[in-house]
Amino acid sequence: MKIIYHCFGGTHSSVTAACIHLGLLPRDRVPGCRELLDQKLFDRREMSDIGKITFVGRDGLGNEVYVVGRRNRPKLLCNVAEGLSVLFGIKHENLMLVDVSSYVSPSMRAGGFMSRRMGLVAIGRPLVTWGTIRNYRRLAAAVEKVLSEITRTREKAPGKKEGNAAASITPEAAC
Amino acid sequence: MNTLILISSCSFPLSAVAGSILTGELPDRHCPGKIREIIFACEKNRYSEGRMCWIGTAPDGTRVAAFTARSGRGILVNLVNSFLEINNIDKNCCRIVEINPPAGLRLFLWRLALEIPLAGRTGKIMMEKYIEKIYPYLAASVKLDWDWQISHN
Repeated sequence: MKIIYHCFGGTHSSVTAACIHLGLLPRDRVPGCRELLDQKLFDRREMSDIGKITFVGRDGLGNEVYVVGRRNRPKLLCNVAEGLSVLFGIKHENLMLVDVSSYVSPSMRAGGFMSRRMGLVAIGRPLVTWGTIRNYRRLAAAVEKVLSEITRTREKAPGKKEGNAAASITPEAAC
Repeated sequence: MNTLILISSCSFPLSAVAGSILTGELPDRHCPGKIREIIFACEKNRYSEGRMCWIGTAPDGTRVAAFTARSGRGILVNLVNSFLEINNIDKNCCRIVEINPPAGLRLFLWRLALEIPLAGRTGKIMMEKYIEKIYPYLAASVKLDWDWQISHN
């Protein structure tokens, strides 16, 4: 299965969620600034990378984890994924889109804007890191929900056809 | 089987018009009168914001599909390209063509009119005039691009 975490810029909340999913960041505790900044995609992607689905890693169950930024247009991502899946006969149940933009706090937004859009990395990066740490438990809980959903789907229907077109999961708000 | 994906990025589905030219649904020499019906048929199907519009099959067997997203060209192109990459779709069998018509005063006025309430009708007239003007460009760009791909295979 391909799991795509998506948010506004695809470089803060989605990267953090993907790293939690892959075990690169802890699930049981809040990491420090250094741990977060050591993630190679965290606060590193440019505005030109918006829309590029980037591979982050493969989890223990063999699922591929990706991140993507789609500005404030989650529908665009869902529609493109659904349309191309139909066009090329890609199985819908092999794709899961997870919207984590609802976990973005104002401080993350402001820090991300300053760092990525205005190029004020020295001010923006500490702010967005602080915001991410403050929201970390909520993000970790969202990832837990995704993981339990994946496990449940695997247990429920091994080899059976199940799921909607480009099955979208948003722990709080639907994509 | 070859697949052609057309992408445009304005409030009007220019990619669908270009695709229809390729499939033969619309003539490639002059803009037909029925273009408005096709446009509104597309609109009725809520063909926007990245929804796929299946155009049909070209005479050479090429499958043609169109996508459009208002003011989202970069993101749409990146999404389509990277989605094909992560699913290992053979790029030799799939060609992505961006429809980038030349900008002009009519395009500007059409977009402006569509933004203003009660000016929608004026906007649609502007749109038709603009499409009439760029019609040869649409026909030429889609044909040239696809021939180029075939010649490289």
